[in-house]
Amino acid sequence: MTVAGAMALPTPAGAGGGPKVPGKPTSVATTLVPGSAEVSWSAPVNDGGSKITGYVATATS
Amino acid sequence: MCTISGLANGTMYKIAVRASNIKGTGRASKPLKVTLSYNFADPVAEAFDGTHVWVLNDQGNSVTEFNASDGSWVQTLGGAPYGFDHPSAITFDGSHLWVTNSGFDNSVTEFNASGGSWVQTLRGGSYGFDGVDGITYDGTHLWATNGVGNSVTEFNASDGSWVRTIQNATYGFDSPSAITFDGTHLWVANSFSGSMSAGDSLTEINASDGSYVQQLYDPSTWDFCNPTTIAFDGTNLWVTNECGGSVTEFRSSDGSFVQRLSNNTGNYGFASPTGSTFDGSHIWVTNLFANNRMSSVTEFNTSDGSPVRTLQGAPYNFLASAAVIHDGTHLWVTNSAGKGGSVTEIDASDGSFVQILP
Repeated sequence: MTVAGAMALPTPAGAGGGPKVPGKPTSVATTLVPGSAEVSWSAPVNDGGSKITGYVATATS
Repeated sequence: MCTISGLANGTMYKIAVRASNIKGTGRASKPLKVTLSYNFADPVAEAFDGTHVWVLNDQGNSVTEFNASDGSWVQTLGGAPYGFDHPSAITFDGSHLWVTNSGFDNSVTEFNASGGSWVQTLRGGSYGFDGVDGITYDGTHLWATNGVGNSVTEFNASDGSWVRTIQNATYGFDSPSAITFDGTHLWVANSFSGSMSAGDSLTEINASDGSYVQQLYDPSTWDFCNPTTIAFDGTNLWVTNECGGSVTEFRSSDGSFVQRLSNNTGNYGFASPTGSTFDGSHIWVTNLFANNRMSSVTEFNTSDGSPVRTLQGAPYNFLASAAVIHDGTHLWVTNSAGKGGSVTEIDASDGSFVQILP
């Protein structure tokens, strides 16, 4: 089973120069409470040449 | 930061995060394995806040909270904004908890005992945290030892503001680790550059102004050997000597020597004594390596130091047991090995087994 949470960031007005998808987020950590997990992370070192627009966190059992 | 809801308690999950930009979604982060439960990961220290127990997970970079009444899990704190980084020691100031982070971050995290909400993380500036290790509360201020910096930092519990950092040859700080407040003075354990050898010392400091009082050093009298914890019984102090296999008693009033308990003076079963706590009449000591990798717990009287019992084997299953605390009626012993670790609950009245968490 996979459960997801998401955090959206403002979409930039435009990006030029052939951006790529961003790299992996790092330093993933959690605060756990009954029934849920609050997830924190650090931005990827490589943003792919374009501003990060959002993140999706998943929990897979 | 975001919250994932609808998870099942007791289930293990792999948590991963992906970032997106205008081009699409990137690859997932390295998955973090967590169990929606205590999630112990090398539990090494603990504190009691009057109703709940807080356990530091050295490898998990997290803090687990559970009810002292029945051991039921409340939450496990980690990640931002707490910034736990190999948490080493914890103390309670009456409303907040303070955790030393002995990793590269060299910081102290403050959070509310009620709910666990983050207050602040102290680092840099004048604090001088450097291998920050032990911490204690004197009623208004906090004192943290810096094992690498060979210093002690004092700061206000009210707002975390820096008061002083003591780094002076007079004090004789040498890999200071444990620190205990006796009502007026502080006692700092110096483990002699971290070596497992005799010749270690204790430094006494006046809590009112940080002034030097004395250093207990003479090996012919003290023979401290990697002093790991200092328990205060209201009159005397008791020091666990991990490499000496002994416990030293001395008077808080003047630092005079009382006695040294060892397996030569009684049936204590000391074996790398590491953690200690006072229950009102007895001292309880964890023995890190009692039998191969198994640990044990020794109880003795503070009135005369006489042994009461040594607990070992099933059903306690002590394993790499580093810390022990008393909640008023029961004891909680951390076991830092074995599938992440566990905590054993004991009835302080008779040493009987209650339960193992999880």
